[in-house]
Amino acid sequence: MTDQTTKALERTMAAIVDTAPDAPPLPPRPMPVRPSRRRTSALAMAGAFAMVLILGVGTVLLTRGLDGRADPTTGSTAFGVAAFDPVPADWDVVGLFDAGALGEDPILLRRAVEQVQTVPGVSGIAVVSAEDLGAILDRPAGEGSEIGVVVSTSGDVDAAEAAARQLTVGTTAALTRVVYSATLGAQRVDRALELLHRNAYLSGEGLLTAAPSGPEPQFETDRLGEEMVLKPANTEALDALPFVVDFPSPGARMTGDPVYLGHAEGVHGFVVSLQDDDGTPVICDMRVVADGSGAMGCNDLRDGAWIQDGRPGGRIAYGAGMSDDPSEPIAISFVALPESVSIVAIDLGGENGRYWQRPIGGSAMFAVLPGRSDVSVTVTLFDGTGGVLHTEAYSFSS
Amino acid sequence: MIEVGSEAGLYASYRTDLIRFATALVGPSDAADVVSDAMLSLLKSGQIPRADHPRALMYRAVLAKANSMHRSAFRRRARERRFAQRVIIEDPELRPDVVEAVIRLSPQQRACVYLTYWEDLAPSDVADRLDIGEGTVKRYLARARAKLREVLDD
Repeated sequence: MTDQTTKALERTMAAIVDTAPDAPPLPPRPMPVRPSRRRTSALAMAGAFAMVLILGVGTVLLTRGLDGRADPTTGSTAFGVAAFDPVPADWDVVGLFDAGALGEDPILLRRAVEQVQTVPGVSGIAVVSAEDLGAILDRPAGEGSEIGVVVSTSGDVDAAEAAARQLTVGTTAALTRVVYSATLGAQRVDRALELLHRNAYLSGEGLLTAAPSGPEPQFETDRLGEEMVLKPANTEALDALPFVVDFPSPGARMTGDPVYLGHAEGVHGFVVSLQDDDGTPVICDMRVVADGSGAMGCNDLRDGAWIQDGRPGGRIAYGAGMSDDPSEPIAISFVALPESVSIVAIDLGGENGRYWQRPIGGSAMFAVLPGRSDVSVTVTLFDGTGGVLHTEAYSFSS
Repeated sequence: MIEVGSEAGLYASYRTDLIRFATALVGPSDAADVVSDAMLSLLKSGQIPRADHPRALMYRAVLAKANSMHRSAFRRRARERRFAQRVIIEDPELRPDVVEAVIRLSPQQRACVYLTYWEDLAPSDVADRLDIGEGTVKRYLARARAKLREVLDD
């Protein structure tokens, strides 16, 4: 029987090799640097009278605030506030404010504008009416009653992210969401993928595997709970891989190799880059158990923040998956973490435990609480010195 | 003139082996794309000039690309059927169920089978070529042989 098996394999391999086409020519060496987006920002600086059309009582406060900085009509500053008609096409971030809440506390809009003005790299700010927001957000006219603070940065991702953060400071009584433009979202996906692939290596099992990212922690981590280390690839990871490459929805196209993060408690973490069926680039985390079942979450990284219970969330792209099998843990993963993150810590509340992890390729994955169907988690990102970069809280249930 | 030891020279030396290896992994229809994509990745990364074993590096890159080919389950089965038909045309005496059993092996298993039964490499050499453990190679081969025996015993 052994001989028969060997002969069958040899003969089949020989027949397979006979079907091989000619080898393709060596492809041309790719250009090492992708041209960066260059835009000239030339936001029109209109008078504050336009604000009257938008905000009524808030106009006075806003006008004073801006007049105190510079006269936008003289060209002496890159900043200005304008009601645009048509709305600016070259925008990067927009903060959406509830018009009703602004009516009660109009200073929040002024605060948002002034805070964004302090961000280096911001080249223009505009306040946009509810009607014109429709064009920006690609939604039907008349839908929604928000007022938008629209920010331009000449395509500077750092400036756009800083502006998104500044929009949320002290404004959550009226702010509902912060959204990045599609172009900025794609740039953020690009940057997250660059960090994911930086120093990635082929594991012994042949899996492209992400390397630790972010600075080494220079502080005591014991207070953060138990370290949850992601273990390197094993043969189970290879069994999980076909699920990963087969999972994307019809129309979606994988744009790079799946990158393995590691495994914990039998859950394998992967990150893949896809182009959605409409061409939008997205970064997806996949949490797979060895039998080939799992969950996937994709993010176009256009969410700057959303406000829940008065607190901003959504700056971290996360996914959570729960299995129907009560013996399997809940897998919580985070992708597109900032490069400055040294530690990702989660607190499951009460006796449910606290865990921490060093990011891997700008991602992290925790596998916790087998048998649970709901969980509340607070995630905190620390820099290398132990400083808190960001905190968010989530609750989810199956 | 292709410089010996250059990326172009190394590729010229191994391209026939690489396209055969890729064919064993993904079939003739996609083999050229897989080799091109693998070489593109290596050129982009600049790894080839620094590699101690550039041939092994190229094989691993081809295997990684074969692994990452995006295909739905339905399209994969259709592709496997076409692949099996092409192989049977090459050798009509082959049993279709045996061919299909080989083609349905995972890329890793097929890589080990190809290097063992076509390139006549010992498990330790297969392990070096693919940068995996020798035990893993033996495990893959054992699984592959077991699957084939199931078919042959029927």
